[in-house]
Amino acid sequence: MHETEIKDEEFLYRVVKVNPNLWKEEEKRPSSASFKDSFGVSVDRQGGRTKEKVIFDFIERFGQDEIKAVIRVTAGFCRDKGAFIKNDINDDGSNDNHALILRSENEITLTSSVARALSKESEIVHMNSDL
Amino acid sequence: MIIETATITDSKGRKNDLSKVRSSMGNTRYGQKSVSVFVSHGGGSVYATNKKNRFYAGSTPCLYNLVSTRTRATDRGGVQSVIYGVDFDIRENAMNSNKKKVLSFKSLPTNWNLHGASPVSEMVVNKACQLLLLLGVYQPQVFPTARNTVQFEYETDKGYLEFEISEDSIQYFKELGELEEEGSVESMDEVKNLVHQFYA
Repeated sequence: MHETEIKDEEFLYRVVKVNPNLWKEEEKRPSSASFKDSFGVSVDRQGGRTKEKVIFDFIERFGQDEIKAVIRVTAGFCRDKGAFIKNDINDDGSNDNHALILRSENEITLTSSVARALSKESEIVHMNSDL
Repeated sequence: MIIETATITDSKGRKNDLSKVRSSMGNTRYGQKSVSVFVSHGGGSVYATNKKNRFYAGSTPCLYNLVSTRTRATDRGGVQSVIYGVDFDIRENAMNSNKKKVLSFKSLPTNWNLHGASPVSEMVVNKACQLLLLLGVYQPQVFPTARNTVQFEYETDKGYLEFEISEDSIQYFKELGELEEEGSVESMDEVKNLVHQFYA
């Protein structure tokens, strides 16, 4: 079990699915559209795991063929952009690393500017080039 | 048929309007070996090239993404490549391809983003399709979002322009170097103007 506090240096991981396509092949990064969500941007905290373990957990949960890429940003970068990160452990206890990136403590959806910044800052840690 | 500023410049600097290339399909010969054709979307150029020369086809948002070539033996036993022309129906093809993608957004399964997202509403999809038609040659990259919007994106070396189409508004976000600007547009024509300005 990880610490509840999300430190600035902690990585937040996000899956970019194959369908629908939200990946920009030429720019080699996700579209900022992938960071626009009515319920907040769903991410997994590093939670004391290795990068490889995080990727493995995603693949196990969603399936290799469903994942175009796994990207990550630091919590500190999100906060620098004014976003708020909230722990959001799944009710069924299936994922205690789940968190949400929100516009602020009281607002959910990110601005276009912040979504764009996240897409540009995203570091690719896993890429399924066959898809 | 959209020609606009597109030209092919040959190795001697002679410019040929693509319509002329088209009209002389099969007769426009550059006498080059191994001519291959490269394609770039979103503000790049189309060019046919061999190892020495590139034959450019303008630098407007590139929709001329089908240039067919044939190689054939010459009388002297060499190989000659012939540019058979540019498919000027590409504007329509790109638009149709975008339209098809956008239409598919309303059939996305519930929870398509694994976080409870619904498919994009018919109203948003129809609005986005209308806008694609209006944008003509300036076709964007299109994406759905998980907040019932469709996003159009233009990205070049010069900058980035995005429109987010929802049921009741169209928001834009522009990035030119370090400068950012965002706001809402009042009409579809304003979208078109912003795109034209972006490529001006």
